[in-house]
Amino acid sequence: MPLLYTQNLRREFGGVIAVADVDIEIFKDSITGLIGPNGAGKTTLFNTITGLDFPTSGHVFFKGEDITELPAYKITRSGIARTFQNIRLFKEMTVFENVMIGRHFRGNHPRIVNNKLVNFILGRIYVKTEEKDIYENSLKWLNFFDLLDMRDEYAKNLPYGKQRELEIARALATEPEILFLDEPAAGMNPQETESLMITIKKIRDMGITIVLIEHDMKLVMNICDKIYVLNYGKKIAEGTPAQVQNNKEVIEAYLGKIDE
Amino acid sequence: MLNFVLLIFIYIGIYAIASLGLNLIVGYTGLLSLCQAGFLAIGAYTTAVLMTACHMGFWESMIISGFLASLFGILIGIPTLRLKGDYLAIATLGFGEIVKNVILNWDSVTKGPMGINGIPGPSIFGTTLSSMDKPEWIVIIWVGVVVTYYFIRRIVRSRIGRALEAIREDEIAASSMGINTAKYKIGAFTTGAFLAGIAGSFFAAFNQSVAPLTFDFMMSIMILCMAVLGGLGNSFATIIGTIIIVLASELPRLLGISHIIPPQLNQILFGFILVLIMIYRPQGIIGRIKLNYAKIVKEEIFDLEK
Repeated sequence: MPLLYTQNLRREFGGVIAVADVDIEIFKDSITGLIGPNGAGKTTLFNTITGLDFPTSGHVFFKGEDITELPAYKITRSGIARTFQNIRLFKEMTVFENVMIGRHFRGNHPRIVNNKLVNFILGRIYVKTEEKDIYENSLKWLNFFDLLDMRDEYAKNLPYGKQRELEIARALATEPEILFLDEPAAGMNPQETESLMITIKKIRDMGITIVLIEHDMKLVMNICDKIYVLNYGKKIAEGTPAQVQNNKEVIEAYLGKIDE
Repeated sequence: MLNFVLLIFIYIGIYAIASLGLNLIVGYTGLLSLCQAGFLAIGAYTTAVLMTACHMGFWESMIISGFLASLFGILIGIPTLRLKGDYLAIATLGFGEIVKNVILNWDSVTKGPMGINGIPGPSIFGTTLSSMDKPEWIVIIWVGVVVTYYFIRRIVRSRIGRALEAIREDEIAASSMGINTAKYKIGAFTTGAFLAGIAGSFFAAFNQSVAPLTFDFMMSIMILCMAVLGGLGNSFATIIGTIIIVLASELPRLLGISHIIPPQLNQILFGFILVLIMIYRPQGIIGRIKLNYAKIVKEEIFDLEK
């Protein structure tokens, strides 16, 4: 059974159908690509899955449970993290703090008894272990992305590529099972894209399933196990990179119809 | 003259509690609220009614006033916190006006436009304070200010403060980081309302009377200006801002020239100061102090263990 799948997911904005009855299946430990021309509904699909937008109809199932109606924060807590196409870091906060916010809700001390009053009184003791956990885990992710020496820098002062990496670090700090990356390589130079590819594979090897929207075909074709192609909100193709590359409809969507 | 200086200090203290509360809402969480006077009114009238009609003591009334104000904070918070920026400001503005008008027209409880007079002072160590016992009042109210200051400081330096800052920076990103933004926003709103309720309670007990028109829209704006003038997101600056604004509005009386300068001129002076500040120092006189949460955690959690 897929880790996450959608059923006839549909999102309309007035008369525009941004996502038209799309079914996708994401399998554990895979890297799934989502491609399509601009305005194909890729980001809207991401938003409806991660709870930032709600579908007009259809369902999203994660680990067998229907998460369609859950608010974004609950979806994140259930194990789905994401990054944004137009980087949404906490700009006036430091690099370290950005990652700490990602860890925010994970830093929970196991409660000894299930009694709100007792736990309220014991709260002060928990706070220490929780904050320690947040601090140390954030350090771990900063180290993974080689951001340690910039940790006290404001996020807005980081170079563009590093901001993208910080956003991934922040998402990973929530300990997701699935990571949704919305155009992670946008605005990166070839070297940065190359190292991003290695990073994404490393994250996959840690047991985190990855779904990504990307326009950089070299990256997509190299690392994805499976690719979905959207056009005008509809799923027009799915399959391995080789299958998708030779699909007539995909070629038409990108290059237009070939006149005979 | 000395009496008058003491009086100003008392008002500064009362307004400081309310503006510190507002600073938590506007400065730290980034929600523009224009109904702090409404919460102040709820606190003041609750104390007034409880002490005159129900013959309760001041301290119990004060606590009840605070909680009642925060209850209204929740009530207005839940429906309006879906709104953002200007829209939220307008909704809160409406709430403030509703509170004033309910008080103005609910004759059986609030005595309408006449207000409630003859509120007894608080009793402390067996003696009952009146408005004349100004030094005692200063001590009581400024203890309140200090407690409020440390209360807010604890909140903003904790994990809660970090979440509030994230919400202010980017609410959507915060919610997709697993932060329950509604909970934190309502929490901030409620805490701010609680503090305004306490301030209102002091206001009623010190003046020994309350009148509905005191708590008009101008008062909300004045409290907002106190927070903005000193610097949003900085409790110390908020207290400085409160001092400046209260002084500015009482200056002619303080200098004994109020017979030359009509009271309306206060507002002109007051507006002039604000325009100048907004042009030359929009971040406030002192400005925001950015807390470094990584350092705070390191200092407070790790260094304690050594």
